[in-house]
Amino acid sequence: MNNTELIYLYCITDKTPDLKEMDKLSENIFSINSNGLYAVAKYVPEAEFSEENLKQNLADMNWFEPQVREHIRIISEIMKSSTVIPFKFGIIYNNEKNIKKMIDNYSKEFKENINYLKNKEEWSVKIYCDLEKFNNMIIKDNNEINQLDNEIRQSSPGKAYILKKKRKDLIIKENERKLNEYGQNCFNDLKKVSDSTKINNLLPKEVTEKQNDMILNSAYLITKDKVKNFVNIIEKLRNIYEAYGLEFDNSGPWPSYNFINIKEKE
Amino acid sequence: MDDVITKSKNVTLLEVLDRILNKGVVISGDLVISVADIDLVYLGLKLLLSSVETMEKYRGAPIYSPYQEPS
Repeated sequence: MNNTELIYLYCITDKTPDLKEMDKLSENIFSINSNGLYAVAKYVPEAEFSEENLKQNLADMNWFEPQVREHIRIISEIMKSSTVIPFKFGIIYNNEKNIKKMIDNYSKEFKENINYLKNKEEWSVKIYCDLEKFNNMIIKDNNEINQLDNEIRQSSPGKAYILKKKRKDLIIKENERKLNEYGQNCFNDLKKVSDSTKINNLLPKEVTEKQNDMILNSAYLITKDKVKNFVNIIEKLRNIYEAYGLEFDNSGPWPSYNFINIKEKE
Repeated sequence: MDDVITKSKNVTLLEVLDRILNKGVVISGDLVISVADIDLVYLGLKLLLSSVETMEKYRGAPIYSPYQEPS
């Protein structure tokens, strides 16, 4: 059995982290201070985290899921009392010296980002759509489609056939146009109270395990005193668009994963 | 507003993974786990992918959001 230890890095922060609180979440958490910045890290066994072993463990959900949850819990705890630069999952160093070196190498970037993120929170809004419900509402709302329905009822079979084709095309077009319009409206309303926004790629149903399709995957950076306002806007949008089959999934505050701006140096 | 993440039942593993695997600081540590390994885990969660081809299908065809950031 190999007892060598490696260091797993969670985040960089601007204040001495309260490690007593951390102890409740996980053992072996400690901080490394350099240049007025603190790295929050943990000693982990090489038996689990060496390149080779980690690769194997990643395939094991029973191992992986608790690790993932712990990663976000620890950063979230630190976030309660300071501003954090969150790191990705699985950033491992061999020793403290190398972490110090990394902090010093990036201290300007870390400080700039922390300054920008101070007093702000990241919130996530994912919008899903019940496309059938949406489709039905679009048909109900649209005069042109309703007129076509009347015409079809009064037409000869030949003409009705052509009109039905026209109706089908119109519905597809309207669905797309309205879905774009409503999704964009929601995003614009939320953007109004945000300092910064990010639209991410949509995730397929196989990954979301939702019945409905994802139509917007977005993140918002919000000044703390506007968060209440932001949540109210989501409620308002939910009320407006519920009838159209739109479902809002909001969560936060998150560590500012979407709003970190640091490029890796050569 | 703290503790929403840790307490909310609505926060799925997906929300967490969507961040900690795909976003955040891009400074590598001393050890390198390749992105491909992570992708496999990420998708494997829900898809239990056994073939690289299926994974390539998802990676090769990202679904871009239809909305634009108004400039």
